[in-house]
This record gives sequence, C-alpha cells and structure tokens, in this order.
Amino acid sequence: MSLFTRQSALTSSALSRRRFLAIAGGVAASVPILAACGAPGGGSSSGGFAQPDVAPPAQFQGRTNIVFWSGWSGTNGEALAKLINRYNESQSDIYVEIQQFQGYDGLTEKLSAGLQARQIPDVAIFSDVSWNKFFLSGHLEPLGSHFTDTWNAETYHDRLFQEGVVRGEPYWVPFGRSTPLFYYNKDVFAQAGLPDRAPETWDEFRDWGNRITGRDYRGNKLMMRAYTGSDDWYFQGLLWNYDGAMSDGLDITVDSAAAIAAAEFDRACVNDDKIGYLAQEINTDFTNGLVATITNSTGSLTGLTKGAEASGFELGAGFLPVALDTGVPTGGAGLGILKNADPERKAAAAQVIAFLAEDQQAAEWAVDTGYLPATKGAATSSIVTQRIAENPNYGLAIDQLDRARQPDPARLFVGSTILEMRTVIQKLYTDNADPAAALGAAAATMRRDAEDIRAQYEELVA
Amino acid sequence: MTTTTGSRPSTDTPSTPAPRARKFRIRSVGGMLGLTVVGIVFLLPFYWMFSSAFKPEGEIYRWPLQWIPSTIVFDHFARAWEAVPFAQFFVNSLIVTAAGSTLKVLLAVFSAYAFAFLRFPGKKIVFLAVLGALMVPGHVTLLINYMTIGNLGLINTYAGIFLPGLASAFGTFLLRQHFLALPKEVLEAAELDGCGHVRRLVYFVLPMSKPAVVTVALIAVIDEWNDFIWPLLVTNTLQARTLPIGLMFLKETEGVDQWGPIMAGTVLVILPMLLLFLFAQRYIVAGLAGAAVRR
Repeated sequence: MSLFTRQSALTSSALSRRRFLAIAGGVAASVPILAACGAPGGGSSSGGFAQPDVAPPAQFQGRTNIVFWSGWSGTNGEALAKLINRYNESQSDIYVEIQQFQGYDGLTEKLSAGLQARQIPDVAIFSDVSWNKFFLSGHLEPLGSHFTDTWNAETYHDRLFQEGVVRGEPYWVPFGRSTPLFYYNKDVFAQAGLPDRAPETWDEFRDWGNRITGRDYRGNKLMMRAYTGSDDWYFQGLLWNYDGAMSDGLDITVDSAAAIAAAEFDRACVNDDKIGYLAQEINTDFTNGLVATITNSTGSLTGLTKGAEASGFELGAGFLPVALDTGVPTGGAGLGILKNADPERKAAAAQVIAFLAEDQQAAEWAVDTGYLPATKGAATSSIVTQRIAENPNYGLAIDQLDRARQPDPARLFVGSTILEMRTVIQKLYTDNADPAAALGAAAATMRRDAEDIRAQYEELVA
Repeated sequence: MTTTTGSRPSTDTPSTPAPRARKFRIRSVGGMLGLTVVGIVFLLPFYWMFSSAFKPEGEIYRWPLQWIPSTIVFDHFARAWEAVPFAQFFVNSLIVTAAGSTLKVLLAVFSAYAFAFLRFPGKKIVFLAVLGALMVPGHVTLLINYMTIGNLGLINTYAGIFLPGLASAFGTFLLRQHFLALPKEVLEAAELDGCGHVRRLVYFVLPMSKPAVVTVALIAVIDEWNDFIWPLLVTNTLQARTLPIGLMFLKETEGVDQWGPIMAGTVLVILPMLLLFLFAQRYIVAGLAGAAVRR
C-alpha cells in the first residue's frame, strides 16, 4: 500500500478493486436518477454529454471523429488497432480513435465514471455481463434503425446475435465472443493410460483426476486442474450441468438444492480429493506441466497452443464436461453505441461497426484473436475454415455453441452477482466453506440487490 | 531502534567483557544470516525481472529454473518499445512527477509549518481531519475525484493527473512531527532577531529538517511515478498517459502473457525510480526514524 492516500502500484488489491467495482456498478445503475441533479457538463453536444479528447494524426484531420473505448490489450489490442487503421484509411469522412483501458472491468469503471462526468465515447466494447447494466440505465442506443441492407440481424450468428436483443430490439452486437473449452495435456493423459479426449461428464473428470493427481511429470507432482477464482462463468456452467441456475427471472435460486450440489462437487474436488487447487495463473501452471487440465476461454487457444509447443507437449481440447444436463456459458464482448452521443457521430459509429462485421474484417478478427467467428460470413470464410482444417481445436468452440446458453438474468442485471459468485467459489476452494452457507450468504445479498432493479427490469426486459 | 539496542547491554546480567564481545559476535552472525535471508527475499524478484528481460524467450518458462541467461538478448526491449509509445509516456511521466511532487512537497511543508508553529482556532480539529484523510483508502475517492476533475474540464490533462493527489496527509503529518521536535530556542532567537515566518521556515526549519523533507519528496516522486489506477482512469489518449499504463498495453486481455516484453517494459519503467531510491535511501531511513523516535 502506498503511504499516501492514493493506491500507487499496478497491483490493485482484489478487495479494493472489488469494492470499487461495486460502487461503480451501483453508479451505473443509478445514473438516470443522479443525472437529474444537474452535474455541470463541459459538453457541446446532446444533453450535455461531451466527447473525450481526440487527437487525429495530420492525414485524418477534418473528419468526423469517433471515440472507441476498448478494454483489449496485447495481441487482441493489436488486432483491433489493425482493423480500425484499415477503416480510417478506407474512407475519408470518419476518423476512429481507440482509447484503451484495463480489461472489461476497467472499461466498465471508466464508463461509469465517464457517465458521471458526462464525457462519453461514441462506441464501446461491453462484456457479455456489463452491457445489460448500461442498457437498464438507458445508456445504449437501439441499433435496429441503424441497420442497412448489408448489415443487420442476418449478418451475425443467430444465437450470439439474440443475446444482445431485448424485446425485439438489438442493443449489443457480438464482437469478440467466446466460450470456455476444456484443455488437457495429451502427454499426461497418455502416460496415465487415459483415452485421448476430454472427460465427458464431471464424474468422469473426477475419476480421471484421482488417477492423474500425484503422478510424476517432469519432476513435479501433478494435479488434475488449476482453478481460477476470478471468473464465475465456469460456475455458471456447472450450475446448469446440475440442473441449477443463479436465478429464474430475477428470483434468486442460487441457494437451491441443485446449486448446492454443484458447489459441493467443486468443493469436494479441491478439498476432499485434492485433485485441484486455486491457481494464481492457470495458463502458466498448465503450460509448465504442473497441472493436467484447465478450462479456459477459446480466446486463449492460440496462446496455449504456443505455450504447450514451447513446453514440449501436445495440447488437447474438448467440450466442457456435463452432468445431469448440458449447457455452457458464452462470454467475451460485443459492441454498443452510447445513446447520449451526438446523433451524427452515432450514425458514423454504426458505419464503423458495420465495417467490422464485413466478412474480411470479422474473419481476420476471429483468426487473429481466437474468438468465435461472430458473423455467418466469417464462419464460412476461407481463412477461418482453413484455420480449422489445420487445427481442429479451433472448430470445437463453434460446435460447442449448440450447447451454449445465455447467462441467467441475475448474472446479467444484478450488479452484485458476479462479485458474490467469485467470493463463493474462492471460499469453496480456499476455505473449504460449506456450500449451503456460502451460497446462502450470496443469495441474501443478491435478493436485496435484485429488488432494487426489479421495477426497471419489469418495465424494460421481462 | 537506536534506543532499544543501546539500552539492552545495560540491562543484561553483569558479565566480563570478553564473553560479552563473543556473544555479540555470534548474535551478529545470526543477524547477518537473517539479513541475508531477508535481502534475498527482497532482491530475488528484482533479479528475476532483470534476468527475464534479457533472457531468450524459452528460458523464462523453463523448468527447472534457468537462473543465468545463456545469452543476453535485447529482443524483448525492441518488442516492448514497438508495442507501446514509451518515449511519449516517459515525457508525460516526467512532467507529471516533477510538477506533482514539487507541489505536493510545497503544500506539505507549508501546512506542516502551520500545524507546528502557528496558533489558529480549530487547529486540533483540522489536524484530526488531516489524520482522518490518512485512513481513507484511495479507491473510495476515485469516482468523486473523477467527477470533480471532469467538471473542471481537466480530464486527459497533466493537471488532471496530479491535482487530486496534491494534498498529502502523510507528508503533512511526518513533517509536522519533525518540526515539533526541533529545538524551540533556535526559532525563538530567530524571532527575536526579527525573522518573519517565511524566513524562519526557509533559513531555520527547513535546513534542520532536511532528512524529513527529502523523505517526503522521495516518497512523493516514487508515488507519482508509479501511480496507475488514477492516471489510467483520468486519461484517454496516448498523448496524455504515463509509463505504468504502458505496461497494461503489454498484458494480454485473454490468453497467455508474453513475459519477456512485459519484464523489459517493467525494467524501463522502474529503473529511474530504482536509481533514485538507491541514491537517496539513507535520507528516507533517517527521515522516518527521526520522526518516529524523537517524539
């Protein structure tokens, strides 16, 4: 911690970040109320909302400037920059500037703060669980009226597109969507005499885990799976697999018997059988051969393939195991336009999104990042089909989409859900907590928060 | 610290000087061992960072650990430099740190002087409020600060980055404690000779408080340089961002991080602070110990 009052280093502690997220989430939800209190805006455009500073390079001066807020860094950030650059050079009316923040959470914080200070971008990336909150507080532009003959609902993968539709009106189009896959070390499976595939059920996973855990691999004692405590979408999937859910509408069901059974399975794997552990960094542990399996986003397939290659083993991938029922979550991001941006810029922002949905761009984006091809054109494009032919693992995520489900409403709309679920899984893994007690505590908080937004939800969504 | 080690021999049971000397030596060997262990704990991560920045990619992830790079490569630095406009960020960091820490120290010195030497109504309550500010975690004020800076029209400016951090409760507190410990006679003599407040501050208080002021200044500089969350929030464009944000650009949002360029970038970011700290750390120890012990 800093000796001064401000947090100083890169290492923002989980607790304070969580607390901040909670505050930011609350603010996002309460913006319409606060907006009436007349925060002075420095803005020139609609309703006192101003555009952030833009600094176009000399060759792009004098165009309509579009601000695009992104949370992607590293490889994905470069891939997006390449496409946006191409757009800027492809025409002479619009200049798009990408302004980058730290991941989806960092972007959500920034956007919440920006709405308070009445300075907003024109187009932004929203994660699968953040766009709903901005929709509920009335900050997302309906996209139907912006659609054209060549860019519309038909452009996108049906199931992915439907996730962004509320009462027939699209607010959020898929761009950088993902779904988790089960990754395994083929070397380890072969040495343990296991078949060369992902386990089909969670019981099989547990059985195999007990056979693998404790084996020697490159001088280390192996474990079956490295768990992450920072993401709750696997838990969302596990709940479905056990016939549970986080909520039915806004009625919280995360403390039901089915949900407790799902949580008990995870707890028992980590604390009774000790075939898994809460890892600092699951990818690193996996590619270094400390664990036999992980579940992770399809977006990490490229990185894991490279990492496994460098480490000298072959990467296997498969569908997530199931139990009583199938069902995998989808995640990742999509694009939305800010309702309070200037109308002329909103129209320009729609053109940018349309450009990114063109076959060439959508296909390149999928191949460069490893995200799902989100448009029909991208899925059938030569570079995507060629990639799948070279490495069939890339096709798995697309096939698995048939089992995909939209997150439960609580996860989408109740701000505290994700934080509560992360807390629950961390308690299960590290404290060996009683599943019923941990889920009960989470459910109580979620129920209270669900009531706060029930009126808005009933009016706009249900 | 000095008082405890100084008083311990006198409370020991009386014994002849020779065994006592031996005992002391044994203790110091144990102490050396302890110090070495602690030193390694602190230095190892630094060594790992520096060595990873210069190692070929494969050796970073190799198990068992490859402690010494087989060859020195500069590839990671080239990649980091290519991915992030570090030059622009360096200039920004320099400006923000210089302006921010200078103003911060100035403000801390003046307010500490007021708390230590001036009589004004409500002084105790105001000082309590300053102490209270020490207890408030930075994240709580993040959103409020953002709105204030937004309303001032300072988002994405240098001033926007350093303004909210200018009032340093810790600096004020540390300097006030130090000022209170100064010999009153000197200041009384100065007053009798006709020195006003400014002259007393500049010619007497500050020269006598050099370690404390340097400590506050150094911590301010390091703090301002390393700050990440606030500058990230309050800036939008590459033209206004500072060095630590550059590291964010190197981290993968999804998938496997390339640790080589990240370590190279980290070396670039912390090297100036590391050097500064090495040159000035003795002041920090003196400054902190001075304020803590003398009261």
